[in-house]
Amino acid sequence: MATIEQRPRNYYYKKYRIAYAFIAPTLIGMIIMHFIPILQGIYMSFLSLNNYTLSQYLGAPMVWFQNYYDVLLNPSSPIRIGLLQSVRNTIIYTVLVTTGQIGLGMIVALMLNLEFPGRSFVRTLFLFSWIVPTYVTGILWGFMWQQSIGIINIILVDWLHLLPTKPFWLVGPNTIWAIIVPTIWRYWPMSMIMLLAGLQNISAELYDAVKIDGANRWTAFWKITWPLLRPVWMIQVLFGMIYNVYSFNIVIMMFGNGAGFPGEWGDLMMTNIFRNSFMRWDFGVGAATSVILLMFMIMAVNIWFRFYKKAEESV
Amino acid sequence: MNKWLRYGILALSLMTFLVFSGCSKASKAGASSKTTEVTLWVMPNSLEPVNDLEKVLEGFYKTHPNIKIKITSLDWGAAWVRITTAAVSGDAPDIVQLGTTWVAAISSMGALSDLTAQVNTIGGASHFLPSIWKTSSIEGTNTVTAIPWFVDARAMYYRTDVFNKLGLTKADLSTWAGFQAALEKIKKADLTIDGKKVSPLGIPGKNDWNVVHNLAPWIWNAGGDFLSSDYKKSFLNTSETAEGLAYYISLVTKGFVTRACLEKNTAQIENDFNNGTFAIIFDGSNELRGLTTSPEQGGAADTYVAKRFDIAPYPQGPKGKSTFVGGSNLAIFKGSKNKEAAWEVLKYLTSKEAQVEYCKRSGFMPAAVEAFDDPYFTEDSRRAIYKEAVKDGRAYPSVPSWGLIEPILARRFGIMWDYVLEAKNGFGVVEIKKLLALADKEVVSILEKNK
Repeated sequence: MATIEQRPRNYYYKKYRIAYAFIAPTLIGMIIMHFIPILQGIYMSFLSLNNYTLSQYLGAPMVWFQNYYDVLLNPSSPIRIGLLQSVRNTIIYTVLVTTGQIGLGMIVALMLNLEFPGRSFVRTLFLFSWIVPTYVTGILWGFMWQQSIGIINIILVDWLHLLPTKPFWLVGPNTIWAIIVPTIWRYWPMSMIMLLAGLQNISAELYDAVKIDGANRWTAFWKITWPLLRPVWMIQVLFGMIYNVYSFNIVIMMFGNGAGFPGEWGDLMMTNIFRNSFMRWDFGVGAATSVILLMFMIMAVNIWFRFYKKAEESV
Repeated sequence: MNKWLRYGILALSLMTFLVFSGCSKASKAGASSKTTEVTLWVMPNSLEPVNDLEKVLEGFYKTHPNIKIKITSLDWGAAWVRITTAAVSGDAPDIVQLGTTWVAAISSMGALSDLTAQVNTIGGASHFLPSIWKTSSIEGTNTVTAIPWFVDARAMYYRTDVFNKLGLTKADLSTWAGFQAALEKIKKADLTIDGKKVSPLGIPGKNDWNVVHNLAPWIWNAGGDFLSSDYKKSFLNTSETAEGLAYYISLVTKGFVTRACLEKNTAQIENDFNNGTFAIIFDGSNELRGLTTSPEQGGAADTYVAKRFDIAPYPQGPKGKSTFVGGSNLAIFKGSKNKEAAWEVLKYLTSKEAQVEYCKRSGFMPAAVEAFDDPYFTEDSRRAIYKEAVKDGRAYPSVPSWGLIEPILARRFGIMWDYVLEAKNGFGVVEIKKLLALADKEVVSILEKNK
């Protein structure tokens, strides 16, 4: 303590000024790109910002918590049309996509962790779906899911005979699968590559030790691999949660490039907020819905962080 | 420290260079000539939106060498957001294309110039088709903010080879009953022509811009409507609207339309018709252009169907024979600094010469009455059908709340196709009434909020 006090006041500034210089652009970028828009969004959520007041923009009349009341408590408000369905869909979508991408990523990472000829080629090949932009993914899968001529039904019904008739994927309750599967397809390589990096850090001696104790591969996975990879897959859970709750491109492009309505089983929070803000011109209510979603996400991330801290401590 | 000073001086001189180079460019542009650059935002109305419009404007450049037009093409999907953002931020072009249903909403924001005085110099209302002229201002006001540019009307396309084979004629399609009987006959015949099984009718489902447009004529022709005549109340929960909707849905439940159609959009249905899958479809005049344009120019004139089709108006319902009329208008933003030059562009684009030329390229119908006298619209009997359809056409009410109601209706009637597909015991009157009650409640909530 004493030594610190003796140092001049700008000692740390001088010592770390290069670090500050490197951080500064990111910090300025974050303030401009994130913090100011968030604050503006929160401010907008208190305004009556619709087609009549849009020209006044931030000078639109202040209605305080009316928009929040409309979203949460007013059953006759237009924003409530289909809101609960999009909440339900977003939860199902987020849970299944996150689980799916980590699960698939883990299986392939375990396979790629084995030594075999052409391993690096296969690894590169598997990354391809991650390169495809999300809106292209939406358009392409929109074609693939078509009932009569889509390749998926051709494979499932005509080639493999797994189903008796060709089901509809883009109309009706199956819509939820039509958006979940492409999202897993798009994101699983990211999980795979991170899990693979984690796997390569686990010492082979640990596996040798449990082998001597008589454990099989299954036990070795659950006792060694899974717990030691916890920091990696927990980060994946966080990323998955955030990406998928805010998912937009794949859904909007799959259903008429934004023209159509994704359906009772395809509408997510983001497509709902988009429709209310940009198509129905109720930016105040749209902003309020976004702020409520942001609050939920902050809570969810907080809960996640507690688990993560515990996991880190146990490792 | 010297090092930091050096970096500082370098950065400062770089910034000075950038600032001055920017200035010099601006001053060069200002000094070069008296050319006025007018910016114009359009949507992809034809295969090559910018090139086609440039070609049409060649006549304009001859008489206005001092006006240069910079055309930007916006995708329909992004246009609504781009235009409204432009209206709010002021970072807008001089001229903008607006879908007819958007005019009232954007006008109500006060973002568009008043064109009433100028439009009177070209003949005012009498210069345009009455049905489309209604979309040039907010209903109930006389302030013209967006002048009609082109019209998108719908008509029925049918296969003459199928009709000849089954002894059907155009006259059989003139009423709802006749239309249904014709569909029944085609369904029973179960034809396979040119290797393709022909199903009676193709209609797009929910993943489409046209969900509401496709339903509108059936609802109107049964005497129903979306809003009451004063546009203050919903007219959805009425027996007439239910009747129109029931008839349209019955085309699916009776098996005239394959269920696979319900996940398709207009472009896919069009494509299927061109390839011989359907005997009948309803479509805009750009489909006629597609079927009479060579494949080199992006058309389908080489297909089997292109040589064997004709066009008929919508079948007459119990209360009328209206077709849906939409299209686009042109407006000048209030913030434009080149209003005079922009008006000259608008005046040219609504002249007979430009109207005919643009319709030839886009496939749409003209908004100016005199353009219909051109041989292009009178010589081909199929195009003449559109000429009539446009006269009987009906547009949505030009009220600011319509822009907010349409997405709600598109959602509700989109879900309708989900229900129709899932329904095990058909989709009857009870289900339709339930659906309309929900749509009614939703529209009322919008009307209440926008009182």
